[in-house]
Amino acid sequence: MNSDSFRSITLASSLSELSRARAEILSFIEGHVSEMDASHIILSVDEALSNIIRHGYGEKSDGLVDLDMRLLNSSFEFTLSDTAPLYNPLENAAAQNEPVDGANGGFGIGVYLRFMDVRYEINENGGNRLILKWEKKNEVSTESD
Amino acid sequence: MAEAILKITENKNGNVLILVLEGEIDAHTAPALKEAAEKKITEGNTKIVFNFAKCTYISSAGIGVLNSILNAVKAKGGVIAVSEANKMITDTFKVMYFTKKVQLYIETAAAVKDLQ
Repeated sequence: MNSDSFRSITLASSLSELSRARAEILSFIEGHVSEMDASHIILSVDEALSNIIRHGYGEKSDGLVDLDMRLLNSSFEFTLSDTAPLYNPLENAAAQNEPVDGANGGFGIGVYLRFMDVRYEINENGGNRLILKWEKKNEVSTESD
Repeated sequence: MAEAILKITENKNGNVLILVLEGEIDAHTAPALKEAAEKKITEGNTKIVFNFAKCTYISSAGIGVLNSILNAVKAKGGVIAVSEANKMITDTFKVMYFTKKVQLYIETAAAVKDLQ
């Protein structure tokens, strides 16, 4: 059941769902974090979700992704569960140093690893579960130049 | 919440094309940006300012497209610039190293002047 400290939504495996996911995340976290932290959190989950839809499901629209959001004291945990073929992104973070159009999503993985503590699990039913945890201590400088 | 929408309008100042981006640039809308920009490059535009004043979000898919556009215009001796990006989008550009490759301007007029 959804509450101020927990919210769960189910998304179709369509890139058109990304905007709705971002709006739900913002609604869940706003008031708890700064505008910049919110931007980093939304970007991270968006990158992970985009990869699941684009590369996990291959944009097949009949798949689903469950997004569970939890507020835990000073941290937020986002759990993405899907039934796409098993894939551990932590073993496949490509060494891309810039986003490349049409690439395999490796850069997106690097983005969320920059802001989140991430772990990957295989669901009991065989699907994937990606857990992204953001903590206030994870203040990351984004100055790259 | 409806799906992300990206509206692209254009105007020209001398030999500089200004593409005004309104909405969100994510994995869903980035292909529309690519298609629109590639069409303009094919038509001979090689100096392009992307005005982000009305853009509220960009992800790596969008910056991947901008990198692709940058490479396309550079191959023709051209250049691109970004103007009027908000604080969060500017931060995303930094996260994705785009600020190492493209000049960001506070004002579109300054970007146009430099590119001419």
